[in-house]
Amino acid sequence: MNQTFGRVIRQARKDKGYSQRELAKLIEVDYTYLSKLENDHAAYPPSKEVIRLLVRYLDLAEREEELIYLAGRITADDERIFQELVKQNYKQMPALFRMWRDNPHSVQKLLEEPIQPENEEKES
Amino acid sequence: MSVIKPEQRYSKKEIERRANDLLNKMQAKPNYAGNGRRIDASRVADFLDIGVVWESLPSDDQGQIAAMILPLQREIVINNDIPKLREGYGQSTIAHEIGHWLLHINQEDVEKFVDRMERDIEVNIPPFLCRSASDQVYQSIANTQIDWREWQAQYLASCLLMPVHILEQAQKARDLTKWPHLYAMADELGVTISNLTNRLKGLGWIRLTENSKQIYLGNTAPSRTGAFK
Repeated sequence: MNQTFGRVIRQARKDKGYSQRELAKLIEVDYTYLSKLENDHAAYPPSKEVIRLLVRYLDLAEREEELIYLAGRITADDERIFQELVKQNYKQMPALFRMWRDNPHSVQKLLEEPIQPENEEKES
Repeated sequence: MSVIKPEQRYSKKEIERRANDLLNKMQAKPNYAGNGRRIDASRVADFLDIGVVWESLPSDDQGQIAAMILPLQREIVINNDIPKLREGYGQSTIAHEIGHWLLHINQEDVEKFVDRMERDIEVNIPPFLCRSASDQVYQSIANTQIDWREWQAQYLASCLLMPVHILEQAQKARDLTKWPHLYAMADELGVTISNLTNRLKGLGWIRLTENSKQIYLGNTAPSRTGAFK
């Protein structure tokens, strides 16, 4: 089963022994919103502050970056790179995003290319 | 296609046994053991790996929907638009849905359908809807199959939130014939006064007469039997 933001935080909350209401109080959100996050039903992604507090109270520091992406957000570093790219390639960006969405394999291929020689080296 | 079990008449004893069995299993796990008299129904759902989500549930042609279970998603959805569900009624409603999960949903069939879903085979299982999980269920005469299911789920909810051993402790130093004492007990247990009085009536600890607010001690009340003094 694919990992989702909701699955990760629900399992971590259970592991820590918090109820939904207890954790919601700690991270200062309404428990109904937390219930939506946990079940991947929220209409909008959690704020960075909510993610930060979840990471803190659920001891998920090692998975912070993963959680940011699973929530549908990007890290501060990525945001800077992204802004630079958008500024430099503002005309091509919409086409790139559409291509990525409509044909994800083409981008996947690009991402895998630099990894392949390294893997081959290890295998040999 | 359905994951709902055919009609089955469970005895009160059997339903109580199932609730106690579940509570005992939770007691054995440190994260779920709890440390007070208040049993949090959402923790029971956690223990069963069932998600609880609060959302707006639009009414349909038969009226308001209080809650529903999505069996394949292992989710209980509680109607966010009904304010009274936020407190004791909400606890009772979650526990009621857990009652349906334990008594009326065929877990083996759920597994089979989930397996199909994961293999991208189209599966369409309708949600299990509950229009009212309140004390009305107790008062209705369980004539139809649906009424029986509702009654059974609500009875399991009562056993789950108000197990006898917790009631025995909570009634100590209290007078069960006095409303303020019962309200204090309901508050301590995190249930509604209707939930509590129905449970106590069911156990034979109190008797209530129609058109009167007078409470009488039942024949099996702990202070009468002397068993729990």
